[in-house]
Amino acid sequence: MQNFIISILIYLFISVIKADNSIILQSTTSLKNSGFYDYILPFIYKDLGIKVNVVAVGTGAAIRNSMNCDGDLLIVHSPQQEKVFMENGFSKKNHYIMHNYFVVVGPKNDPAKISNLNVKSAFKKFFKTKSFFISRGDNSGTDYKEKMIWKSLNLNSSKFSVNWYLETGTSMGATINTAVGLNAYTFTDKATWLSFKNKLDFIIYSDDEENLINIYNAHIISKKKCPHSKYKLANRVLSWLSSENSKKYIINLKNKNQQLFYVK
Amino acid sequence: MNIYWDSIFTAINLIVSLDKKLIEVFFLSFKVTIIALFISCFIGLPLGTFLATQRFKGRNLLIGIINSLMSLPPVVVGLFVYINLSRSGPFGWLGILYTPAAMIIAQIVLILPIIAGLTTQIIEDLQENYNDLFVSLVTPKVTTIKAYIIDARYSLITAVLAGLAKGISEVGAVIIVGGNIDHLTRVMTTTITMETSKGELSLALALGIILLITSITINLIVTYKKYNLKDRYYGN
Repeated sequence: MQNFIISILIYLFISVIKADNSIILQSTTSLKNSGFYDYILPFIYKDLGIKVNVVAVGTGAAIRNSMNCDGDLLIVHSPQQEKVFMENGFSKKNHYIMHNYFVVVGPKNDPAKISNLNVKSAFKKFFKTKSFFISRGDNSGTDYKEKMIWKSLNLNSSKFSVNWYLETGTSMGATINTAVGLNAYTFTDKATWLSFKNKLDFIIYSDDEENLINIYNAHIISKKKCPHSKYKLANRVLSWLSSENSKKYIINLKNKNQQLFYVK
Repeated sequence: MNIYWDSIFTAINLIVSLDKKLIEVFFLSFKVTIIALFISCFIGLPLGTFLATQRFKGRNLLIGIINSLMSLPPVVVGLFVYINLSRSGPFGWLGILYTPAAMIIAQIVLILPIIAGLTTQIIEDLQENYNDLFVSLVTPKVTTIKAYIIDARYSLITAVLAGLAKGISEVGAVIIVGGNIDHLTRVMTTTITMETSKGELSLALALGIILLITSITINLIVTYKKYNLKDRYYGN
């Protein structure tokens, strides 16, 4: 019995000791759900020998986790929230990685009649017609962007009636599932949408608008704030990601022949 | 209806083709829960028996607390363990956040109250029959507790199975402290959550079916074994 316990403990310790050459990447969910990491991490491992462990949560949660020093590298997509992060001294600079666009998706029969409208007019139409709209409501980058659009129309989304404006407080995918279930419109990043499987008859409205640009930035978590962070390894991964070489990989990532991410 | 057939087909396909990813998350799921269950039993069975058989000040309070801990939502446990294991938290120096060890700790916090609480209940019923005997023999506490556990072993299996069920099915705690990292902390339940949010509903359901089949198999084996052994020892 004692031997058994000891061997279990040894087993536990083995699983505790991680490979030294690994970093923790706090990331937004969209990059994981779109298959970006499944695609790019093997290349990083091949070139650098660094294992990147991705923790995918919403942008808000990823930034909060990073502020607790539970990460070495951060990739998110919400410039305003990143600004606060940098102002608090957790990162010196935001490094551009890639971008794509936010889109409005909704049922094909288009109950609010928003086809051919730009995003602001579409949002106005949702408000006027009180069409079902599903919001993330989880302080993620996408949620933040959506709230900004309402704000730019001088509408206060927090005062909207739950009769038509529903906040799920969950991940992008779960929110799209809800929208599909309720035949409602929702706001999402294009990469998640393109790789999403449970679309039914849903289609994209207001596509590729320049003011709907969705920029993914990386941050090295400051070693001043977090002495334990593996900033050297994180730096190597970051310079790999922003190299010309990686740009080739990024633009080659496709889902059904549609490019998921763009680089400048 | 279509999605049911789709997912059943996917489940069969995954099992027959011995899908590499499935095997990985499947075994990690069981590794984490079995270790957590083992440690919880090691602490929870004696603790529960102790509470059932000994009388001391604050005993009722302690039993009440353990019973209410059973209803802790896994997310809260996850958050609690996360705050403690975070690099900025009191146990950050261990560096085990986002590893299987963190998941095991979270599951122990979840399972231990169940094992201890149910054990208390089971042993208490037994205690009335034996208490006078043990008191008259003046047996040491440790011996008494051991004797109770051994005597109630078949009933205690229910407590252990309840702990296993809680551990293997929960997702809220392990997704926070494990982070659902590919090849490192991804288990069955976090995979199901992830596939759902990718819109891969039939794959998610297929994984659920596999989890259910395994659970049924384990429960049936244990139940049959239990009654077989019981018959052999006590006759019927």
